[in-house]
Amino acid sequence: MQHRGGTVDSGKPAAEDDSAAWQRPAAPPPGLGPASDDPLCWLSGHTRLSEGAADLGEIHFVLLVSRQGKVRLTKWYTPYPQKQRSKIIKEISTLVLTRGPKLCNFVDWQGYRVVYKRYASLYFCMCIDPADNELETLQIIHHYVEILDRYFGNVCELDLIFNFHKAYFILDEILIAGELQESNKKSVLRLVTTQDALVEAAKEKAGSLRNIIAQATK
Amino acid sequence: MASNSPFKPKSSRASSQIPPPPPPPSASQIRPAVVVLLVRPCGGEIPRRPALDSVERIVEDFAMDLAINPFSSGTRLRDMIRAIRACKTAAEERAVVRRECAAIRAAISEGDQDYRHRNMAKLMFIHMLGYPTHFGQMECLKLIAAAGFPEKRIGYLGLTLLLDERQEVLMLVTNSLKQDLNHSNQFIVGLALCALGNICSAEMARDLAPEVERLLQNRDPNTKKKAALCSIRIVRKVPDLAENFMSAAASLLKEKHHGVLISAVQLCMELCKASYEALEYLRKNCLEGLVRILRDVSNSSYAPEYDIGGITDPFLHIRVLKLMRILGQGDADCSEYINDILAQVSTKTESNKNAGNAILYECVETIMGIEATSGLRVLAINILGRFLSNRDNNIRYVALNMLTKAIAVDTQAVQRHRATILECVKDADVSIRKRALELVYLLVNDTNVKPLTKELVDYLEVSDQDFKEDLTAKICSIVEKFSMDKLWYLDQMFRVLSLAGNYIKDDVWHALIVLMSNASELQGYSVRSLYKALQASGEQESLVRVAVWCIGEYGEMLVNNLSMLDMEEPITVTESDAVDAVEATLQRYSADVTTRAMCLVSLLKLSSRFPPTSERIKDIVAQNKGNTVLELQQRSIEFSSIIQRHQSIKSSLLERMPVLDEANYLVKRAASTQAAVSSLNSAPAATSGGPFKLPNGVAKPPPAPLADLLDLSSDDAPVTTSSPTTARNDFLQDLLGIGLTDSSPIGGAPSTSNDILMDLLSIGSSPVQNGPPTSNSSLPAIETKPVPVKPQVVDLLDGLSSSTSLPDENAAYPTITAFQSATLRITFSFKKQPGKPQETTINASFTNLATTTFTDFVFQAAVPKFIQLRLDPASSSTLPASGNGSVTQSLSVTNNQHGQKPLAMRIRMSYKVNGEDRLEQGQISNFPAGL
Repeated sequence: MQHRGGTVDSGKPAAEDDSAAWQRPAAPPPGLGPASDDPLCWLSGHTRLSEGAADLGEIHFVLLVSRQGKVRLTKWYTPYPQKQRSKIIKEISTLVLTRGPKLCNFVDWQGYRVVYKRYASLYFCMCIDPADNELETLQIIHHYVEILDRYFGNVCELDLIFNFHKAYFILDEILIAGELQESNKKSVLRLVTTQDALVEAAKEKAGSLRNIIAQATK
Repeated sequence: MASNSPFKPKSSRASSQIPPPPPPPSASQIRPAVVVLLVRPCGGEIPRRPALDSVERIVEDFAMDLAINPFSSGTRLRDMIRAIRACKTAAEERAVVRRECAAIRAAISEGDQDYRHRNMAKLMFIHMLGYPTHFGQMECLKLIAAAGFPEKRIGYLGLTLLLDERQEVLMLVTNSLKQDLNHSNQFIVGLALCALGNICSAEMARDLAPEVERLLQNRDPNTKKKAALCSIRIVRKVPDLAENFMSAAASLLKEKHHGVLISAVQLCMELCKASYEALEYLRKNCLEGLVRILRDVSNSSYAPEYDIGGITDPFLHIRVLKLMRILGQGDADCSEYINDILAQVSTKTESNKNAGNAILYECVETIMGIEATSGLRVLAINILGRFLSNRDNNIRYVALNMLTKAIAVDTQAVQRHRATILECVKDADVSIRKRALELVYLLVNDTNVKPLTKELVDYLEVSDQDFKEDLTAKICSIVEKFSMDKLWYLDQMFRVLSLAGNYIKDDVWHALIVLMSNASELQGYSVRSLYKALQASGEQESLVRVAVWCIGEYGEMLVNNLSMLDMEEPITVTESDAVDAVEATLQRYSADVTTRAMCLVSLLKLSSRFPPTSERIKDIVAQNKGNTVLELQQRSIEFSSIIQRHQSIKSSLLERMPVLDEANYLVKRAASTQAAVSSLNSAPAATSGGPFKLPNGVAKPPPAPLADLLDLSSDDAPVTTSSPTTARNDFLQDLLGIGLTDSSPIGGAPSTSNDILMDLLSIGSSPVQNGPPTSNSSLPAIETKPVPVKPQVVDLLDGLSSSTSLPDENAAYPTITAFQSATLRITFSFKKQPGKPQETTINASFTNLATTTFTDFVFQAAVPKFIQLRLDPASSSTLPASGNGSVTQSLSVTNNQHGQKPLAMRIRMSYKVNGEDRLEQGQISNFPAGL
């Protein structure tokens, strides 16, 4: 409102009181970043470090699905919100289960790569960065399966259903933060069984204590 | 309770059944058959021996549980799983889960301790099935805070499964984690490290980094390796902490334990990514150690525990190679230092097993990544060549993957494998096909583009439906990139259109039309080829559209065999054949609205090209007058009206379209693919060409982007956000040729009626938009009424024949009374410079209605930011009384959002009456539309 006669640029003075109100419709709505499609981008405030040097990514998640599409194990090393998780599981299962035999063990999925391998009725899937070593990931899957097999003795799907927590315990001795922890199968088995024994010892102790109390209070 | 099934003594099972434990599977190779996983479908078929075992096992366990724990209450984990598995329907399963959840909730609210970990195990299972389990999160924390190892073990597992790092609950666990990291029991420390490594957030990373750092020096190798991996997560979350871990990581590389080495190497990689300083430090201090590790492990004699396929610990190999790549990247000294060992690994590693190939693959990648000698690179490329001819799909897949990267290093070497790669495009496996296609795309250059394209197009004929989309996109992209030879480009495009017209993106065929429009010597050839293709494969949508457009535009070339090429065979097509073809397309059940609309336009044009068919076309068009699709109905009605009532202008209206501006289209296409429609940039470019005349005397606007001309509103990608009302205004102004430039409402789907009008005009090459005002004088046939009309669509057309005089340009906008009070009146009159639609010159005239003279009169104005305003000096600062003369002042306004937003202005007038200050203000919102 401060324009005097003469050449005055209107932009500045108008900004004082009412231009803000006038300006509002002119400003474009904050667009959703094109990156919002990236499943990993919007999950957390931090930017993924692996983006710069994308060739050394960790394993983003591990997924075990049966041939019927039932989830047998999921382990997330990159944080996804719950809703996203079930969406991913659905996508990956359909992707992997529909692939015929004798095809290669890798599928592209949303800019990532899923390495999968079928053992009997179970599909073991791991999601890695596209530049990571697919063959090695395959070897890691096999590593896990061999350890499961030794632990359960001829492992089958039912073992993993009823003892799913054991499968998790073993996985935790093989992978942490999506990185490999131990290449020695025996050493993994030893660690798991030692911890199992610890649990049993504690149980027995508690059991006997309980019995003593029960006897005493009878 | 002792008998909780998750913690059932393993001995009970091991001792009671499966007398001879199966021999451990040979670890030598990846073959599913080696590791026997027994197929036991969930369906409940009769299980074979091992399943029987497990049934027995279950029964025995149950019996044992009963024996040991007669007081057990609630269902056990095993029972719950069994109950869930027995459910036949999803509803049943939900019911079971609901029951269990209710029981668990009750137990939680009672603070039940005995069954806490069993409940947690159940919750984890329920969680895995996809049911909500948030109510159990606090239980995790309680279990973790408990003293015993069993509780902690299940608690930490629950923590990593049920929570993710975004949950607030996680903050509460930091304290427990801290305590456990300092615990004397190494297994409890291990649990805490594992949980931290898997779920740690940035805050936790900062809080617990010192503990983890300390644990890197722990005596126990298992704790060390876990701490190292946990540090990776911490550094990922808080890169600033990287330097704290540098020296510890370097010293871990001196260990012997493979687990520790693997973890340490990975930690080093993470540190290099996070901090340049760490990278330099590791280059200086670790390279020697890494080479030693790699040499030792690759020369080591048979080590049964690490052996995979005859190779000792491929995992360690691979990780060391990866770290070497990071250290050697862009550093000649480091690269030279590791040259020898890389050569050794790449020559000595056996490649008959997956493990060996994995190492070779990593080795090749490292050689490509560092400043390797040329000899080493040749070695690497040769390995890839071997991979490519391997029968194993996995190996071929990674070879293609690697070649894609290698192409930047050595194009020639990759070109040598072109034939093999091309074969991979036709592989049965879609993953391999995609990789190969990407690689082929990169391999295309000027010399090989023709044979490669031919191969790809040939393959398009037989490829899977799923793959056609990818393949088509790549072919189109290749063909467009190398479209110097227009005839070749057209031929390829016609083939692709015929084979996969349904998969072609709109912008591709739009570009094709633009090109044809520019290649006048090839138009005859194009229309004849397309006509033939249309006869052969009329089900390909994009082909149909392009063909129909061409027949409409270049129909006479089709019929008369005009501008024949040497190699072309003349074809006999009669005028009615051409109409037949378009009619058949219009009638075809699968044609969509856009295609049908294009058919109608094409028919209309043919009616002018081939006068004898005019009657027939009139009937065909008339048939669609009752079409339920508004778009088609409207077109039909309008076109009928043109055919019947406007014979005089029909021929000029239905002239061939002007040559489309290629450069402009490309700019626009690029803009639309970026999804950023910045219309303001392209608008001045469109007008800069200036008007020029066509033979029929109709002023031709600068070539407008194709999309507008074709009116692709129904499927046009770059739909802008302009509101329908403004679009309407714009259109009216455009129609009237007032000289407004705005291309923003292009493809504005909400305003179909406008588009139709646009379309109508486009048919006759008359100003579609941004027609400069000078064109008005050269448009004797089209006479229009001035602005503030709200004409109905058809009226406008009819208005063409009624005769009103061409309005004076300056009167295009009526003079308005901008402000009126008891004492003062302000009127605005408007003037626009031709070709500058955004700019308006406003002539303000102030009149004093009072009986006293105003002195020191000052007029002020304010505008929103998208408008620029310049005020010229007023003719006087004194306003004579009683309207005896007025003061004028001119204002220049530039509306930067012209066409999207109307002008708006606030004004304030200050003056003195008898020495007394007066102030009046107001807002002007009655500007004529389109300023």
